[in-house]
Amino acid sequence: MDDNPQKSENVDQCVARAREKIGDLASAFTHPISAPTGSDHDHHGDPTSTRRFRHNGHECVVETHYKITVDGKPFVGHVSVNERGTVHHHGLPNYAFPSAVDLVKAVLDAATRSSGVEDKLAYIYEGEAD
Amino acid sequence: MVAVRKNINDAAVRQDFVTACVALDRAMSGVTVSQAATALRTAVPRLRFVGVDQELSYYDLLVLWHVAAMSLLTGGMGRNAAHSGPIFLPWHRHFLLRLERWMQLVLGDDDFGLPYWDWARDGDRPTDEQWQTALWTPAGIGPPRGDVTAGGLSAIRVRLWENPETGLVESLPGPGRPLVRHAGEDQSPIFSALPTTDAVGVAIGMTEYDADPWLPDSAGHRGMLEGWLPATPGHVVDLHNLVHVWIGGDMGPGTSPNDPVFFLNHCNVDRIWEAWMVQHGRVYSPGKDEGPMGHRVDSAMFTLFGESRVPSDVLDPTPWYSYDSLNVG
Repeated sequence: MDDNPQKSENVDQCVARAREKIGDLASAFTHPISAPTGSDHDHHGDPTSTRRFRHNGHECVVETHYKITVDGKPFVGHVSVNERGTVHHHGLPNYAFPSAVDLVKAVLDAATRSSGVEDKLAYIYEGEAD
Repeated sequence: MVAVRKNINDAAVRQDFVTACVALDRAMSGVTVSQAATALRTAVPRLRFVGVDQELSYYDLLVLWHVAAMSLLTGGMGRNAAHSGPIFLPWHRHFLLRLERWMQLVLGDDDFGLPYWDWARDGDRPTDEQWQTALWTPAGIGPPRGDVTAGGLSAIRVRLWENPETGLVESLPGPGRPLVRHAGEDQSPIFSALPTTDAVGVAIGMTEYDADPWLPDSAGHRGMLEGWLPATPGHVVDLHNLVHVWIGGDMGPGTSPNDPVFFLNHCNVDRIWEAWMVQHGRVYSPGKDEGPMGHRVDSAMFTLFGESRVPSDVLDPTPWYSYDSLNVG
């Protein structure tokens, strides 16, 4: 592959064009943004995964609800089971895992980049449930 | 003129792509985290921000748009406003069109087309070679493992990051941090290698776009190309999803557009979808009065700024772009 150094003068020109051609987008965020029709407003989603199927004339329902703790505290987020029996978590949205154990390990490994920064945005959510 | 999307191995296209990414990441949009959080608070209650208040770049707004769409649930069963259902392919086509137009504007080139990464060609290589190709060098898109501190994309700064454990979007202090990748580090046989051209070929052979009951892994081209319906025996995820998993790091959480390789992956996904439509027709399902709301042919696709579109608006991309090759599998 050819050498591909970034030329700062090119980037500077592009930055200037971005401000000129795209402009200030703050006006798009001065009013509440609407959710499309059909969006769910449930904060957390249904914590129970329900799989329904028929077998030899029987109507079967498998409901799964995980209870997971990490260091004694509830594991955040909904762990769901899909139709194929693999498990899924919103925190790693492109993953499916053979087991909830694999899932928890992967989520904890992926979270090590947390900044632990002081929160200066909490006022936005005052009065709301966690 | 209509843009022609080319392989990232094309040096000129690659240089323009990297330059445009860095410029959009450096140029500030006028939007602050607190403004965005307040505007989205009611519509997307699952989306919560912690950390510092700061102005976001244009590139950050794409990250924000994606994680907001992912946090907007639609009709249960794991579906959201952009994933895990029929809307996945048209929503990401809409998303990439916005980035492509922004890149054309900053480059001053109305003919610029997004590059794609033909990852299945690399997936046909031995596993140990897949993360050591020229793509993953400073002259390409930067190193495959650890912090991206070499090459043009080392200038990208991550300012918004969804913590997978808490689900909170952290607004990082100071200048932000470099990108991080873990390409091919997972030694599990189901995650250790990229998808193959054989797997893409199976997805191309699916006769239906999607199927009732429109679950993430319903039997159709979309479910297989998104990666919930594995094309490879023994896999739990495949194709698009497996590319995210294989790279790991910033490609993991809902803020995955932080890494520009996100767009190289999705441009290739879009190319595969285009190849499927050339073979099977420009069809989409569910129709107007069927399937989950938010995923129908006339459902307005979630947009933070600019015009919204419905899936039927984007089934034919020829007004905007074409691909230099639809030889995908």
